[in-house]
Amino acid sequence: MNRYRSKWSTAGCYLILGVWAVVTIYPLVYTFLTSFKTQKTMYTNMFGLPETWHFENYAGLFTEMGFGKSISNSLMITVVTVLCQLLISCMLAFVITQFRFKMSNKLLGFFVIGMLIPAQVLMIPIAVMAKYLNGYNNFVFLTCVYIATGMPYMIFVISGFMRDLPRELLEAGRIDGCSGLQVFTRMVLPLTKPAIATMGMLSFIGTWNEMMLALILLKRNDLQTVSLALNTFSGERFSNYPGMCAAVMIGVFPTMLIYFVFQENIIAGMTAGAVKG
Amino acid sequence: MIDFKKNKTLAFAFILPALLFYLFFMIGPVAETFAMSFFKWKGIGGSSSGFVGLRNYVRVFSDHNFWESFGRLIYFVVLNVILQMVLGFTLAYLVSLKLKGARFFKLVFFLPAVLSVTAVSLMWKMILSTNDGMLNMLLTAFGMESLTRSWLTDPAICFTVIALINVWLQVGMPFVILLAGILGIPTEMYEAAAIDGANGWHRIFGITIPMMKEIIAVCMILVLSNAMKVFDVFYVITSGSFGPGNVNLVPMGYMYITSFRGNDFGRGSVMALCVMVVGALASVFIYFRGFRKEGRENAG
Repeated sequence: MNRYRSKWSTAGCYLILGVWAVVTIYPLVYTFLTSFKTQKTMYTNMFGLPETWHFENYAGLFTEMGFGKSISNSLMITVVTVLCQLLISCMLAFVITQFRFKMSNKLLGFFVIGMLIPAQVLMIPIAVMAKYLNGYNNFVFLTCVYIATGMPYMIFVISGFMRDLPRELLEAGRIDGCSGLQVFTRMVLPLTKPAIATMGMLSFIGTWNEMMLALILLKRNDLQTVSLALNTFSGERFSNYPGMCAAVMIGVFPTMLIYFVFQENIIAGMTAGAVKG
Repeated sequence: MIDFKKNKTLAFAFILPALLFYLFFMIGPVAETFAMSFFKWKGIGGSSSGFVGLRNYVRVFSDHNFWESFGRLIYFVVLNVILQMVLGFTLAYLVSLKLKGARFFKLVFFLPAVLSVTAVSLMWKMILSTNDGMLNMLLTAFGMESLTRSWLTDPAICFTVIALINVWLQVGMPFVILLAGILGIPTEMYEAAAIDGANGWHRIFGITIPMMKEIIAVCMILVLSNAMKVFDVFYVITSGSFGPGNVNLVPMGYMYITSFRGNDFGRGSVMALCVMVVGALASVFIYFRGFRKEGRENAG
């Protein structure tokens, strides 16, 4: 289509693209650079690179704010959630797509409806349940809630993928004497790897970023997740900007890293619902 | 295909975990929210103290704070849907032209969608803070001191500013969805139009947009339902106060305050249900409008 465009309109396109790229990226770059400055140099040298790179802000988060604990809490909750979610979703998707029974589509529909339930509607009943089930300050309870809330989308995408697996191959496996369980572990799971990897990353991003349910259920300081720890900053007087910048960078770093490495997969996974449906 | 009847044990063993989690932590709680909206509640410390019929509904619907928060939400949703769709479409269209660097722009534009809302809200809170914020310092440095504002505490503008921050946060989603839609349009369509002498604007409004009515509708529903349930960004930026005064109080924030600070789960449930139902109705409305128009065009 290039031949239809004049020099000027190309320049116009770049102008719009460039402006929004700067609006998107610059705040993050500024935060990154400021996190290596001191409280003095962030004013004397606002927009440049730090003259000396100060790592004290990051060190301070660990020694004074207990960020190390928050990171390990977040990682633990996130990793367990991702693994359980994947296993449970794959098992269900396997039955839905590979077993012959009348209800299979209805069963899928029943789970997919869950995509329409906003987590906010769950806040109150989850708080009530937590009271009776000892769910406050309890990682197991919070993890269970996370597993359930992320599951519908995962089931939707993984079922879609498993449905398209080559039928003949799986039939051949059956004829060679694989049991149902073996078909699952030796054939379907390995073949579904791309979808599993993508959904695992999405689930990691979603769980790492979750704040609202954690806010309700985790009340003790030593049990905070990274999102909650960041939140405590927002209440404090604005005294230590570089420290806050460092905290923000820790909050965005893991998901940003995953995104930069697996960009295409993540975009495809996140839009699978809208583009296919 | 595996026969269900011969492998019943395996089938049930594989369905059961998902079903239990789903019923126990999603379907059950939604039903519970509905049930609780008819009871008088005393929050976390207390417990249900009796059936009160529709009294919670009456109290919520006669509460002018609730209606004000709902009015605010409508402004927020309209602003977000319009800006996210227009900006998302513009960026998607420009990226779809495959200029040099298009891949880089795509990478950048989607980035905020994967970042922690808490972290980036905190980032904007710093950048926009009145005395030491980067934006005001930048304006001062360029001699535009008259433009500096208390971005997040001036009641006249702070709600709009936070709504714009939300656009920044979420525009990545409509951008990639619309991009996929634009790239899915066969190039022959454009070539035929070019022969007929169509210019750029004709191409956009004559081909691109009409061809993607369905995807635009789906995308709008997504943006709308995300905007309806906004909570995190207001919570973090206002340090959980939704202030100054009530100017940043959105329904989900009011629900949070009513339930978890006022210990009234009954009224909180009513508010949560309200937002969910209005969001669902608005989505259905967009969906059918999007398709009806398309149907008419196909017929004509």
